[in-house]
Amino acid sequence: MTTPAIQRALLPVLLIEDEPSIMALVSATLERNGYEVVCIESGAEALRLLERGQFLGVVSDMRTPGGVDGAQVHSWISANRPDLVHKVVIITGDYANEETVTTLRKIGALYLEKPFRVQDLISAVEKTMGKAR
Amino acid sequence: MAGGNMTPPPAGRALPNSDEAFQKLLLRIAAKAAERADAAALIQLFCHDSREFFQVSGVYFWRRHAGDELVGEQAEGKLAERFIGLRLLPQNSAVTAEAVRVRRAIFANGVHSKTFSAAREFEARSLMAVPLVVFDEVIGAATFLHDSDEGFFNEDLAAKATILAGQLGSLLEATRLGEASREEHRRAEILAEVAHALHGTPDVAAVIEALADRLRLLLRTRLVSVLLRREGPFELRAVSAETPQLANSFRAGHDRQTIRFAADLAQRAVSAGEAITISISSELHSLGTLVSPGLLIAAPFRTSRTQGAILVYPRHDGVFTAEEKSLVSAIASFGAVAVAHAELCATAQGQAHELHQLLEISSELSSSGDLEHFLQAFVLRAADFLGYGRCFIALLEDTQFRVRYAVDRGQSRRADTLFPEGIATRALRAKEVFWSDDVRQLAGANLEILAQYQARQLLSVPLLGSDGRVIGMFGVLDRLDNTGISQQDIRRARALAAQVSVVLEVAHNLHQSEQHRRRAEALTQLAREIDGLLRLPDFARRFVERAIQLAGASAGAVALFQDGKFQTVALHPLPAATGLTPASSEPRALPDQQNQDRPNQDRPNQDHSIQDYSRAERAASIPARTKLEPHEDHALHQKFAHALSEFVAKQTDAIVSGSAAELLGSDLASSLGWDDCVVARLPGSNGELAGLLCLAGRSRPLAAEDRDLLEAIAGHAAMALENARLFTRIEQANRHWLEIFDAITDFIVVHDETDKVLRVNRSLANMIGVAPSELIGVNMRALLALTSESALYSCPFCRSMGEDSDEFVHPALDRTYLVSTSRVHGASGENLQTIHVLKDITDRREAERRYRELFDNIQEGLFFSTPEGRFIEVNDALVAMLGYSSREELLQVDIATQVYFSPEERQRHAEAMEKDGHMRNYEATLRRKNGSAIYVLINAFGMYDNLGRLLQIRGLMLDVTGLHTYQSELHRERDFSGKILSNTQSLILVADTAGLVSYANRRWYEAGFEQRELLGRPLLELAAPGYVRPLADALQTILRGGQVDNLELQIMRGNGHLGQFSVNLSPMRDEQGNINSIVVVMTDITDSAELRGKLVHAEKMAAVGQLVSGVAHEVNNPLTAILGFADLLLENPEVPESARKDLRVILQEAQRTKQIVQNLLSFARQMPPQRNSVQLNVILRRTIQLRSYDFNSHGVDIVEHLDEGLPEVIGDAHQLQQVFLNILNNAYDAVHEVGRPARIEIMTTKAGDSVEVSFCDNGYGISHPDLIFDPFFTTKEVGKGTGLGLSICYGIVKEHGGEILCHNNVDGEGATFIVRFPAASHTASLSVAAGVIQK
Repeated sequence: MTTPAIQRALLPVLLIEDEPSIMALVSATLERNGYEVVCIESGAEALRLLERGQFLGVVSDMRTPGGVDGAQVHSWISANRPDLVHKVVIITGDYANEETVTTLRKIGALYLEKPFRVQDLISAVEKTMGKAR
Repeated sequence: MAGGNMTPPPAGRALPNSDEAFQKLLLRIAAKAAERADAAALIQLFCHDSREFFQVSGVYFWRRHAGDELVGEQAEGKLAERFIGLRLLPQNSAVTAEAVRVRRAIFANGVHSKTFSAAREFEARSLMAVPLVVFDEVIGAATFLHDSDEGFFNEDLAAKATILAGQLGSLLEATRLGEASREEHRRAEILAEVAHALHGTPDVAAVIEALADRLRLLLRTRLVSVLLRREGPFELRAVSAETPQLANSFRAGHDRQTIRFAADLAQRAVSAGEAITISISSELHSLGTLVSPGLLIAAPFRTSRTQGAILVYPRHDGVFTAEEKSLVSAIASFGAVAVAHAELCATAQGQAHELHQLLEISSELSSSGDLEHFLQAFVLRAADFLGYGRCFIALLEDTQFRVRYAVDRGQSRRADTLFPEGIATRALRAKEVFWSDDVRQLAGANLEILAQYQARQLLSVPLLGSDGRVIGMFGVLDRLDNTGISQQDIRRARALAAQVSVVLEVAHNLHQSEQHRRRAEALTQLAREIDGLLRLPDFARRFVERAIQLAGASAGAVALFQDGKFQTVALHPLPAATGLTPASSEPRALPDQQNQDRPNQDRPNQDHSIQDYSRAERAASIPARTKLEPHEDHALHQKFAHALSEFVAKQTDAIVSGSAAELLGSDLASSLGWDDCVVARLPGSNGELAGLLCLAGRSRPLAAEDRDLLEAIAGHAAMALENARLFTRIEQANRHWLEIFDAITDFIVVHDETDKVLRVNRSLANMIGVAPSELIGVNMRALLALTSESALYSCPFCRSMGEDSDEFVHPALDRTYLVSTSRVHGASGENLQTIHVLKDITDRREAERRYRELFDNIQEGLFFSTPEGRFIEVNDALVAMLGYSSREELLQVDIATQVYFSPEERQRHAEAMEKDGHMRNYEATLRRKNGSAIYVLINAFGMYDNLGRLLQIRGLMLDVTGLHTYQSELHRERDFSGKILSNTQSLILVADTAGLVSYANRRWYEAGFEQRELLGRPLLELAAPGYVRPLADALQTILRGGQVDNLELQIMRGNGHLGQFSVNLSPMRDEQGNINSIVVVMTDITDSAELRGKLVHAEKMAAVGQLVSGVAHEVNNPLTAILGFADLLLENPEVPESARKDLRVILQEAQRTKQIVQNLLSFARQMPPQRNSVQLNVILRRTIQLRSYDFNSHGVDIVEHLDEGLPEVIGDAHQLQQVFLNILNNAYDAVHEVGRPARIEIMTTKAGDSVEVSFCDNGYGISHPDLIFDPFFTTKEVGKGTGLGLSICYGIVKEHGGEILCHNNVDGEGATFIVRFPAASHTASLSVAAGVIQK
């Protein structure tokens, strides 16, 4: 159990979030809980990172700029990074939108509705990516 | 065998002249046979000579017996005596046996005695054997033996032996055949002799003796016996024995065992039905040594009255062959024939003698023509003939034997005594002969009577009629010679009885046929007499007279039944007022007289019945002779008719006999002086009662013949009566016809072939002015006062016969007659009568002319048509009306298709005709020839035949096309406006110029007004307060000729509620252009105003939703950050407590903001809710449960009235819970703040197709029920409510297809929220659920 924890500690969590306050909050929360976080605003950028780098998991906003939204990130991971497919947490503030809700349910990723509490975020990340320490 | 008698065998084999010697041997044997030597002699010669010839030690002859056994019969030479009787079986090992088997000669030299035992016994050294074959059958064999030379025999010897044996066999056979034929011949001779001996022997005993003798000789036996039996046991009838001693011994065995044994054998043979063979021994037949033991033949035979058997006792020298047995049978049959013949001869002789005597008796008696006399003489002769002291004939009268004719010791006397009933009468009734040698000894004998008659012996024979019925008895008493009654007596008595029977039968038949003949004659006479009487009273009188005569009565009556009662009554003789008339006194004296000398009517006695008849005739003829005037006694007749009516009611039999008092009543019976009475029904032609015939004074019981007679009389009477009635009817009809003839107003004239008037009716005579009788014989032309112009027909009416016209116009009178003529044959049959009936049709012709004029000239269309749819007659007006060119053309058309436009219309008319028989002012659209329509008014009526069938329709048509067009337009217009008025959504009024309502359309009444409260009411009263003035102004405008449009008014509805209306007013003018009324058209716009408001509200809500959704999103991001960082800060231990306190406020407020945003989003989100079948009661309970803590802790009383049968609804359980929670929260807030004990009642009910949930609180109520569902509307103090809760509820409920309402409670305390959802029907819920799953 210790070895994976060490290994995992080396890998950062990729955070895709265009809203600066949310990005600050999520990265602060994760870092304080021992995760390393790589932040990126655009979904398209994130896919490029995911092509090259290793990540512990992905936390992504549903609505992200750059033409690639959270759902597309998730489907790209499903296709190209199957090791990460269960390590995705989606954040959404759009749950009133029927289309969004349907999509989320379809892809089956864990998601958090804004406004979420810190504890909710930690629980979700720990559940998908394991505890940091 | 080495004895001295040993014959040395001839030495040497080669015999000198052996062939010659052999030929000599053959010749010797043949010569012996030719001397008719018997077989034994031949064999002996053969043995002897062949031994010599062959020079052998011995020659042995075997005879072949049954079973191929050879028996030694003859031998010569060595041990010859031992050979006789020796037996050799085929299976024995022997040379001879072998020779027989192979059927040729064989020899055995050097015989080994071990092999052949017989050979050893006879010490043979060499053996030769040869069989005797005849007709391919071995009959014997010869054996040759040599006792010293072991090789003596050779082929040559064997060949010679074969030839010898062949010759011997042939000779033996010839000898046997010769003997057999001699035997046959002898038998045939015996049979012929037997037949000859038996033939012509008339005596049975002699026949049998001869039979026995012949048979014994034939069969060469010692004893033959014949036993016969008639009715008793077998008796020995003949014995033929070899010796007289044997015969005597056999006869002496009478009653002893011999005979019993013989009888037993005879019985067995008879039972077997054929000859039987019995083995007997001396113990059995008890004849000791006289008869040999052995087989006995017993052959049965029988004749018509005799059974017999011939016993042929065993022969001493052998058994009987089968042939002999059948010979015995044949002779037995001979015997039977001969015995039968002899018996017949004996019987015939005996009977011939009797016959002679009987013939003598009958010839003597036949000279007496009188039956009485005959019978009297008969008993005398019979007693004499039979040799009895007394003789009598008794007749069976009324089931008793009555002795009628008797003779006692030669003295004939007339007797009349009852023969006592007893064993004898019983036997006689059973048609059996009864006899007894001493009647006194019989069980149950009436000794008293027997003593009286001193009777001892009685022989009585029944007298039988031709039909087998016992009619009497013939008897004799006491034989004069005091011997017993013999069978002969019985036979003779029977013969005599048969004679008497025949005589009695003949006499009876004669009597009967005579009686019948007389009756038939009488009936014929009756028929002749009464047939001529066609008047009923005459008939009745004559009939009763004759009936009395015929039936042998003294008085009688006939009553005829007419019209349900007895009307004509004829009594004969008429009862005299005083004393006895000869007619009534004499018949009444009759019965006594008759009883004395002839108590029985059925007894054959012609004389009596003749007397009877003549007496009745005499009695009946007296009144006629004395010419008594029949004085009608009406009272008596009526009484009689009455009695008969009662009788008929009670009795249905054709003929009833009894006492007059019984049948007619004692009163009437005594009035008539009748004792007895017979009533016979007279049947009518169709079986009903035609009348009754009563007869009295008949003086004897009604016998079957009497009934027949009465029925015959009644039948005649009925026929005659019917004739009389028919005649009466014809007479009446004739009279009636004459009356009619005269009553007819048409002229009727009958003339003959010469035109002479035979008869005219009164009308014609009156016209001419003379009496009808004066015209008879007048010539027809003269009758009509015509001048002759044509010679062809002298009768002017006859002229018209056969021509088209049957009308005759009288030139002088200027009248037109319709003549109908018929021809009949007159009563005499030859001459033809012509009948003319002339009907004056002058007036009718005139009427027709006028009618035609009218028909042709009238301007209305007239028609006669058939029910099938053809015009029969039309006038020109109709032709023109329908546009045809001629009547003929119109008559061709088919009304149904060419005149009517629609079949329905024609059908309607036809139904009207059928129902009412006429049509009154029926409008119809008809088709003219050119196809255009013509409107007509039809009036028509039906013409019917006497069966009520419609023959013609006659009527008249009026062209109403112009009128119709105008009317139809008017009608259409009225219909059009009426429909508009009725169907428009507008409320329309018409008011007069004074403003009073004179018309209101249907909508008004639907809107709640009643006609009576609306009509006549001022228009202004309808307007709501505040709107009266504008309406009044508008009315003024109208009255000035203006028009008012779209005036919006509030009008008071019928139910008192106000409604918003848009009103148009127009003036209406009369022909002169003056305004005479006002038309008011009102459109209810209340609903559309409301609808408009609601639409606005919905649009507002939608807009708010979209707005909120956008805002919420924007708020969410900062809110997340605020909440998140506040959380992070609070987690940071370095943050001081004072800051933490502030942070918590931030957190709390941020959370409240989050809630608000979430509510906003909930309200606004467009996602359709889940759709499942849900039970609202369950959701309600769960919701209440959520808040139960708060309710309990704050003392809020929740009262549930949940309908357990509540249907489910389709919906989202979560959203519905949200709705209920919101309402509950709202209610909680409302009740929480009032001072009184808080209470919330929750109730669920099913309301039609909806499910309703109501929340009733006792809080402070709702200040603005109309605003409460708007978003952001809240009455709560600032900070307490978001103002979104109830608006969210509104949205959810609407999405569920339901509605949410609220109102303040009527009593002023609190408010009630009501939520309604459509109930899910079972099937609907299923389909909706399925839809959800598919999504």
